[in-house]
Amino acid sequence: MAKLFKYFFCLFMFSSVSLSNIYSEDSTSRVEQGAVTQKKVFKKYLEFILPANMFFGPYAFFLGVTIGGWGIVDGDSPLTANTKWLAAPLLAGALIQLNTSEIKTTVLKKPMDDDNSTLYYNIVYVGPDISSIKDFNAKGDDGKWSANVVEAKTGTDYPPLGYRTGFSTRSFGMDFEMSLLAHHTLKQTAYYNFEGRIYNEDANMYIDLPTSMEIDLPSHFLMLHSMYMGINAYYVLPNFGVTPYIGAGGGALLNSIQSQYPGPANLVQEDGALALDAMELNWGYHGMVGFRYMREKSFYYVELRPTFHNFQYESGLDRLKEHDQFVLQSFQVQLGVGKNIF
Amino acid sequence: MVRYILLILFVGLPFAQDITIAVLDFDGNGVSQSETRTLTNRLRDELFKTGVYIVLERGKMDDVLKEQGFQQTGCVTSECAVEVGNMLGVQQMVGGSIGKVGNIYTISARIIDVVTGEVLKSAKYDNVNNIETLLTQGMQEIALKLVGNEFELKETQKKDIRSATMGAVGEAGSHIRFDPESGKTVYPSNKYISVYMGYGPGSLENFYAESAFSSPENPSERLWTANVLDVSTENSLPQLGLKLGGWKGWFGGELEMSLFRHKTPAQIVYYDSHGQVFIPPTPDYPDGYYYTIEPQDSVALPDNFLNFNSFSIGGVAYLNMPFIKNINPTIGFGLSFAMNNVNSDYPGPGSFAAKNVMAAFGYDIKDSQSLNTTDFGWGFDIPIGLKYRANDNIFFSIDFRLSTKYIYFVGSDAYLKEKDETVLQSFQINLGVGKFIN
Repeated sequence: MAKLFKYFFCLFMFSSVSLSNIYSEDSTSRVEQGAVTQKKVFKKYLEFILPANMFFGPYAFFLGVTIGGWGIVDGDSPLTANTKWLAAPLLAGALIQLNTSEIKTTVLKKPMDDDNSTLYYNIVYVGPDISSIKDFNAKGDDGKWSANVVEAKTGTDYPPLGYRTGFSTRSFGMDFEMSLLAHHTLKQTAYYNFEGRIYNEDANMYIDLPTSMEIDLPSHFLMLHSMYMGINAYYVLPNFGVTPYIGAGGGALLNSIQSQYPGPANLVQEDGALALDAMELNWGYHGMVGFRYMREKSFYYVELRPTFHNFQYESGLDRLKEHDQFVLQSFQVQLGVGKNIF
Repeated sequence: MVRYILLILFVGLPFAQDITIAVLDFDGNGVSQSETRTLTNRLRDELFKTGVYIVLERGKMDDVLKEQGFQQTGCVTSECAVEVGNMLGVQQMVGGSIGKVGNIYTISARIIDVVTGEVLKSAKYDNVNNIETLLTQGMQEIALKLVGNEFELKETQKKDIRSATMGAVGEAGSHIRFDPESGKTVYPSNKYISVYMGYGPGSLENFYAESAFSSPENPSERLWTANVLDVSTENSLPQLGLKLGGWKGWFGGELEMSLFRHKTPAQIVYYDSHGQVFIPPTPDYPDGYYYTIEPQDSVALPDNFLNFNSFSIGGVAYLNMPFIKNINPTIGFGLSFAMNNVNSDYPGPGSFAAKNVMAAFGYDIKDSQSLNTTDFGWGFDIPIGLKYRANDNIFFSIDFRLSTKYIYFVGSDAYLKEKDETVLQSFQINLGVGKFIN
């Protein structure tokens, strides 16, 4: 607990000092004097908000992954470890909001036109999903073997959570999105296709294996945490009480892959240690179709998303080192609340 | 509510028809005298068409004024209009002006009571850079405004736009509107939301399955493959869909979301297969063994062997062809992206077939778990249909649709795990109802 407190205190101090330097009075005074347009003010708003989120978000994500990993090492249940992981970026998000609220207020208070043709918004959402790993491919680092699992079941301890900020005209919209996703493999028997020869530690030699193999995977064999940062673009359709829209998005994924096992080819659990702890920058994309219910200053929405998140990383040890890649495919139902920022 | 107001207005019309009215030549500023006279004549016609007034013809009006030695030119004030009205013996007079300021043409008109000299109603109409529109639309709008029938005015405008696109595609450009604010020509459009329900037979074309494992002899080959040319399917629930669309003239587009459920009825399926099936280790075969399958075989599928649930989102582009008023045939092409759920009481096609084959040898392949998998796929549609406009708000539609969905999924379990792909082709009749959301 003391360790946790120490890290959050460090994060708070670091973000406060850094933000106070970045967003000094000089920077807010750069906002044009006199009446300006909402578009200009929104751009200025993004100049303040995006760097803060894009810098401290991943920083907090790293911290969360580390704290969650410690939890696993200390013998916490996966749920507890995931809670610790989630707490760090959420707290960081709150701290960023706290540190930038005065700056945002200063920017948004500027006198501006009352053009209502464009909606500028902030959104927070929760996005439960149905997911699975597709085409898990593993290749030995020594180039002597490869294995493939066509499908593996995954689940979540917490549904994805996210933040979006953007604009929407009557026909077109764009927004920036950041989200936190945590998936894990469920307890299952994975049947895999194997090709080649693999090193056997007990025999200290390479051995042939049959092409058809199976492996019993415990729950949370792979713990997948991602921070997604990307752009969405969508076309707004005619309103009929609710406003439908359809679009697509893509962006970068900061993927953390953790396991108590070194890798699929080396399935010996290391108690009290995190045998696999990889962090990679990958990418993902999604389609989206949604319905927005507008209120005077806010809106609610539901959005359906097929998502495809790519994972590529290295696992295993020594001669069993391997290169793994797969697609985490999910169907997400996003439920969110948006607020007009003007 | 609007219907009742309209009813009251129309009921009131016969009682108002004995009001006599005359229209003075409008005063022209920046517009030629001949153009002013033509436009004024059009206003007379439009006032007559409203059915509210008995409008004095221009010829009769000129005769009376000539007889009285009165020169109409320059008569622009209310007093003058009252004087002329008394000479003509009408109850009301219409006077006004047509002017041009910069690029804007403007009409202002008023009705004056000849007895009291009071201005009863006034109306104005502005238009950027286009005097022709004053004739085709402006005077009609002025007449309806003077009559005070705003509801009818709106309904008339809506009707013009709808008939331009629903019933009279390809007619002369009388339906093309001019937007005075933007100065641009505006083509009429219609936007709508509709729901439909569909039903029809289907089939799985070219069902192809291959083992998730490779052959031990040749790793580049799959352990086994199987192919079925045709498996019949049928709707287990009617297809339900929601469309959001619109059209401009000949072309239309729709966003469509639909739910679709097909199942395979009981049938015997003949398949072509190659390769080997891996039988997991047993006491008799501690290392397991590979059983070479027959190249041709058949299997009796029970009812509901495979259920396909598909949620699709896609777009359709269509041609809105001219036909007769209120009915428009359409033909289109659509692409969709779908989330396909495939489920069964059995693990999957490969497992089911292998179990049947191995049962002949007294070997019982244990069913591990039933199939329930969700994957993404895509498809295309060719809809051919009709839209019938029942009134200004509602239309009905019928379309015959050839629908093709490409479905991919992972089936069976354990060492019979397989990758499946098929094309679900269906021919549907969809009946729908839509509402305009202009």
